[in-house]
Amino acid sequence: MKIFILKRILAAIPLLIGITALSFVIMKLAPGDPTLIYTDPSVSLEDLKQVQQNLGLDKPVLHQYMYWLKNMFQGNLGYSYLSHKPVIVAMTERLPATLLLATVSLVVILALTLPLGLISGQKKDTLFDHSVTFFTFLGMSMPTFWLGLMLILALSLYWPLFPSSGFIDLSLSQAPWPQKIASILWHMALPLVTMVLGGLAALTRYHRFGIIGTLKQDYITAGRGRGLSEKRLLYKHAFKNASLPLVTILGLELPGLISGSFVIEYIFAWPGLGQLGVQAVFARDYPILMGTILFSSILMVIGNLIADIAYAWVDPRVTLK
Amino acid sequence: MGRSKSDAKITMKKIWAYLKKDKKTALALGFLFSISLAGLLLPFLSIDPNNFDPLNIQGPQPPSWQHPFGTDDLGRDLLLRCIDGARVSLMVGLIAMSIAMSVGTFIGAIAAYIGGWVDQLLMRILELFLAIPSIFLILTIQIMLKPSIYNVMIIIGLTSWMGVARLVRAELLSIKERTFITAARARNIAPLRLLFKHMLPHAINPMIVAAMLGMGYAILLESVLSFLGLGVQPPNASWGNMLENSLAFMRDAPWMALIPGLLITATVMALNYLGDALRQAWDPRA
Repeated sequence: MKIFILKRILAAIPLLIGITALSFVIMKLAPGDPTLIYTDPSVSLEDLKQVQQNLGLDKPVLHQYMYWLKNMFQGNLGYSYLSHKPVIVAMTERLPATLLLATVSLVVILALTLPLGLISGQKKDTLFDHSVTFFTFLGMSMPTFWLGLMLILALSLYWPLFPSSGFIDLSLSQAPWPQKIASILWHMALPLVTMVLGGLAALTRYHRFGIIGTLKQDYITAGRGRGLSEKRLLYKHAFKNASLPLVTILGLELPGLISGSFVIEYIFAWPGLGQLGVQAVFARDYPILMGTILFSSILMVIGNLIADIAYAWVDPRVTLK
Repeated sequence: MGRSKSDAKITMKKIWAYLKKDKKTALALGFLFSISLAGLLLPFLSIDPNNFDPLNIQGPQPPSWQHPFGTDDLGRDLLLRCIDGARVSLMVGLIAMSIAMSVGTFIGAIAAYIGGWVDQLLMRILELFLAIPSIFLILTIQIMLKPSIYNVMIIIGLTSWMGVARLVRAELLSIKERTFITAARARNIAPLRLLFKHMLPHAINPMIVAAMLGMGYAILLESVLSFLGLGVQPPNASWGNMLENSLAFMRDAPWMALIPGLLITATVMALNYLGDALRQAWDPRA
């Protein structure tokens, strides 16, 4: 097991180097001079050259990448062109908001997916199943950013129940913590609903298929023949096995929850990593963008690893090599 | 090929029977057909969707008999712009999907057919593409190139071929070992002919399903890009940039945000239903 994890981590290193190299080259090919954002518009040409030299932008791309890589292994991801903060600091500031939104939505998604998929799989082709199927198709087909816009339109502009943007009421900086938490949760409502409705659909559909497939298995028929009640069969025997594929899917969805939330964070001005990344794209803030890409890639590697380990853990027939 | 032709006939019959039974799929097909037709016919009607109604120029007008979908901030008729946007969005979806299908089929087929280190290398490249958060990649490339409808098609196509490649590779790997391929090899059929005439046709069903889903995905991505101002550029209409345009008028003209989004949702949903119906027609286990 330990050897397996170690092997996978070692195998991930060339992948991460490949990802960062590819992203780096693409960014460097982009026209538009980041130093123009870095400096005052009235700067002289000599000063501009000096800034470019200081940032190493006059060197060949490969040289720049090796420099970035070397620093990365020493824990230095450079400085934001825009805010001049170290990339690590800028990203750590944004991490809690993203993690909070991602974790809460993951929990809510799971809490809804498991019963919905189970019931709709068991009661295949009933009205309930058809409505669940309809809503999962709807969830998969709706642009999430538009769903967010509609929620803002309905619940923030038309009936002003929830704030349309932000993380916390700025006037609350001196308030006691329960009030702060309440304010954060209140701000989180709309982005959370958007994330959940967007993420719920595919998982529910997947779980429904899992349940239907499992209920057709011989051991379920055998159990039925031995006179086990349908309830017992469903909850005790089918549910666990049908949940297996979900574990894998969840591991694979983990990075998607974070990088996928980027438009949602952007629309609701939620101060997370996604919003930071989108702003970095528009500002050509390459160090931040490289940091964001590195972070999501690492997350993806971890997600895959967790999926494999969890799969072997719930299904003893699977051995990790 | 005689046998596979009669196979196709049976499949068409099955699909037809399925459509008669499944009204939802028939509805999906009808919807896609009518918006495509409307979008394609619009340029021949000598109506310019960018024309504004001089009487209505004082800001967005709510839906009325004269303008069933209302007008936008410049007094342009939203029904016409939605139909115009349908052509753009469907075209982007169709071409981006075709690019993804071609690249994916090519890479998947090469990997499965040659195998060995070529397969290994191609699969590592595929993983690389899967691992990069594609939305950042697309945004970066889109900023680097001039935002245009053609760039949107190419970029979406070139960043969404991985699923198809995996699918084609898996299908071909299982076909490769079957007796009729060994027999064909023994008859010394040229490798490319073997690949395209004898192996790929057997993978066509799941590929068509993947194409349906891929087109929906491409339409969704186009709407995100255009919404962020990096896709189809004004004055040309696409559903995504109509949504971007609606942002400033959310409070006073909600119909500007509502209608294009509903159209995107309905179109992608129709494609998903169609893909699902095809899968069920071909694979009764699902």
